[in-house]
Amino acid sequence: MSWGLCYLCYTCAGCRKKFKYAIDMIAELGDDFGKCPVCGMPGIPESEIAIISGDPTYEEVDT
Amino acid sequence: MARKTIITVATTGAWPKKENNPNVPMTPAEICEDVYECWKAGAAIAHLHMRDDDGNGTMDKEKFAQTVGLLRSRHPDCDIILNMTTSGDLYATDETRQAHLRELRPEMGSYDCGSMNWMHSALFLNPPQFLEELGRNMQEWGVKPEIEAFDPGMIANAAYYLKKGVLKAPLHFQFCMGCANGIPGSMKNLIFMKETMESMCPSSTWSCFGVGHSAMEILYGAVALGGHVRVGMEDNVLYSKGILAGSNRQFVERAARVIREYGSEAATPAEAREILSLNR
Ligand SMILES: [Zn+2]
Repeated sequence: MSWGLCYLCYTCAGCRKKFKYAIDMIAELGDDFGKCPVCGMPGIPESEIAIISGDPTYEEVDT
Repeated sequence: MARKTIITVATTGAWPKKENNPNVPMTPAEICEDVYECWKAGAAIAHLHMRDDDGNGTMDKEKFAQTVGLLRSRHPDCDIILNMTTSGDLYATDETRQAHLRELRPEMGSYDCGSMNWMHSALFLNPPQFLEELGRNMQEWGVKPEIEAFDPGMIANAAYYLKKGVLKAPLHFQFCMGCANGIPGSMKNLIFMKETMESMCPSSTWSCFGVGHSAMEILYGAVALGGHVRVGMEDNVLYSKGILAGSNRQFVERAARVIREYGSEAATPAEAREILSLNR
């Protein structure tokens, strides 16, 4: 039994943008994981979710 | 002769629902037709999970029996190897995790070789007493364990059970990579899993998959390193970045293309039986 991607969802401490990172990117992104894609400030962790098709609430950051 | 690579399709799993991907097969009829399509596209093994009427994972043996019954009656030409999960519901009992194996005697069943946290929210329990009982029962019932290893420690645990007689060589491993709380999916880690297996359980065969961003890296890595592959919506509901998979067949077709381009061939079920010593 496996389980799919989990995402950590954040709101930016600076600009209030909502974004999410897939947990499996921690290994690749290291210290950049959890930073706001707009202003680079650390996000405030809010929740953890699986993939929901068509859910636009949090923008995915994966680079 | 070209090398043969076994494609396992994991159609359903225990977690994704229609809200995650509307194309996940859930009912026995949907799973039956999905497995048949995947077999036609080159899958040699179907890893089966069942869902209850609310779409939650269940170890209800009647659902497994219905699915097998439908496959046999609707598609008697389909000789795909059936591999049934023993971990389809975190709250199932030791008894219900094995009852379908005893009754239906599939050629393979999953054997999760250790306990761990599940999606940062629950426990995925495979305690020593359960693993010893399951290993001995699978030997008695002629069901080959597919040893799911989520980290290298689970390979060491399999080696221990091999020495103890709970498992019997040759073992077949499924390296489950990139799951939350398991070993991250990367080429370096795949090589480490393979080398750990080779040193602790020589003459074993192996397959692998990567959940999420590592899916393609692990697929190509398996083919290049001489392993076998698993694909399907149990592990990935996205076909590629931002694109939901249209079907499990789509994943199988891609794996078959990768295997052919590399110069290998997708193993038929008969060839997979030979490779995995499923000589029953
Ligand atoms: Zn910001």
